[in-house]
Amino acid sequence: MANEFPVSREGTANSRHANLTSSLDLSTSLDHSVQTRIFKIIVIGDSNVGKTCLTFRFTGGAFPCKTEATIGVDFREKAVEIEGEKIKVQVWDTAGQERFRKSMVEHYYRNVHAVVFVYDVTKMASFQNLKTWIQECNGHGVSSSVPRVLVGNKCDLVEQIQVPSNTALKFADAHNMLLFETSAKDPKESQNVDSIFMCLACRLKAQKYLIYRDVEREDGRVRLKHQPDPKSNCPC
Amino acid sequence: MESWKSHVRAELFHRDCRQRDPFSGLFEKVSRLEEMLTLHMKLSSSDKGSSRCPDEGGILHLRVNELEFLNQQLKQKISDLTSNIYLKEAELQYCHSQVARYRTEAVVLAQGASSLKAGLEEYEYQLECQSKELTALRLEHSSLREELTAANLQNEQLLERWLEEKKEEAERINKYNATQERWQRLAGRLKKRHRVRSRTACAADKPTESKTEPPSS
Repeated sequence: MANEFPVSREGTANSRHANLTSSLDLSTSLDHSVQTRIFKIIVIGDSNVGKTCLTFRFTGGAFPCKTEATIGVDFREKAVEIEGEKIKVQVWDTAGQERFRKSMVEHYYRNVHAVVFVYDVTKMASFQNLKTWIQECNGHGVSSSVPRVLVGNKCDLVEQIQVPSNTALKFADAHNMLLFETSAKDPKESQNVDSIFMCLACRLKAQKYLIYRDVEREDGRVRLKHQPDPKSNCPC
Repeated sequence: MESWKSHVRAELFHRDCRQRDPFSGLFEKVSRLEEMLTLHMKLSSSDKGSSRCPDEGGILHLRVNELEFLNQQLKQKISDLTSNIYLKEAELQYCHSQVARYRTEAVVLAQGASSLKAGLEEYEYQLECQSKELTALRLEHSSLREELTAANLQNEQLLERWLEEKKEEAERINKYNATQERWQRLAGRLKKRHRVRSRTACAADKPTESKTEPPSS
């Protein structure tokens, strides 16, 4: 028995060691498997307001020389690091023209994490149409807890501005949105463009519930069941 | 209707010619005789005071007077004719000059006409060429229009295909995002559970180890 003890003890130690090793492996593999989080952000608004240029400015860091009307949707991604965590911002640059949207719309809003509404500060109609865009967004079951921002583009055309900042601000407040007035063309405003998406990414990162949200796909729509974390450490 | 009128008109004209021409000389002769008679009457009235019965000398005198009168008339006629000749010569000269002028003009006009004709021929040729070109262009235009229609149709089809592709891509990305999200959620849970278990295991192991530790002696 006395001899048996050390043996059994050794065996237990071995098994424990093996367990520890396997648990370490599991932990490591789990760490590896938990890949970069993806934040799906859709950019919507009237045609020719500069959605493509804005997304291109954010993801490519430059203003595109020539752009064609977006057909369906264009996908752009940018990896960012927020508080040590690598996050992939997946920007869906949607088509503004109805004929190029058609049956795509439901795909835009599926599992969307944030919505960017864009209008052209030099076109009052694009600002007035925002109501329609918001209605469309709400009509596709996008929860009110999904962050939304309002972006007034083409601020560099100072002489042609038709939408006053106050009006836009009132509208943004009424719809519980942040307002950004920027220009995708003006290189000085590039940081402002980045800050739109970074701000959203920070807010989304702060809303940890997004990871654990219960995705019900029976009806193909997302329902958010958990409340957002009240402790927000968003730098913006 | 007009033919019988013209026929009657022609017949009347012929009748006039037939009936008036034979008497034309007669009328001239009668008028001359009338003139002579008037002259005789004048002479006889002037001679009435001198002698009532005309004799041979008187007849001769009458004859001389008559001849003088005729001579005067002829002189007058000659002078008229001479002046008329001068006039006609002047007219002729004028007509010659006019003819020369018109000839020059005619030459110039003929040259112009020939050049215009040449121009017209050239234009006709150009018109023919252009009409041919137009026909060819119309054909090309119609074929291009057909091509455009086909291209538009193709464009529409391509657009449809593109939209379909985009739709599928969007679906794929949405699925990938959902899978990713679900996997992260599961991994998070597993990690959490593993952490709890490893803590529990560590907590359970520590006292056992202290109990099972053999005495140093």
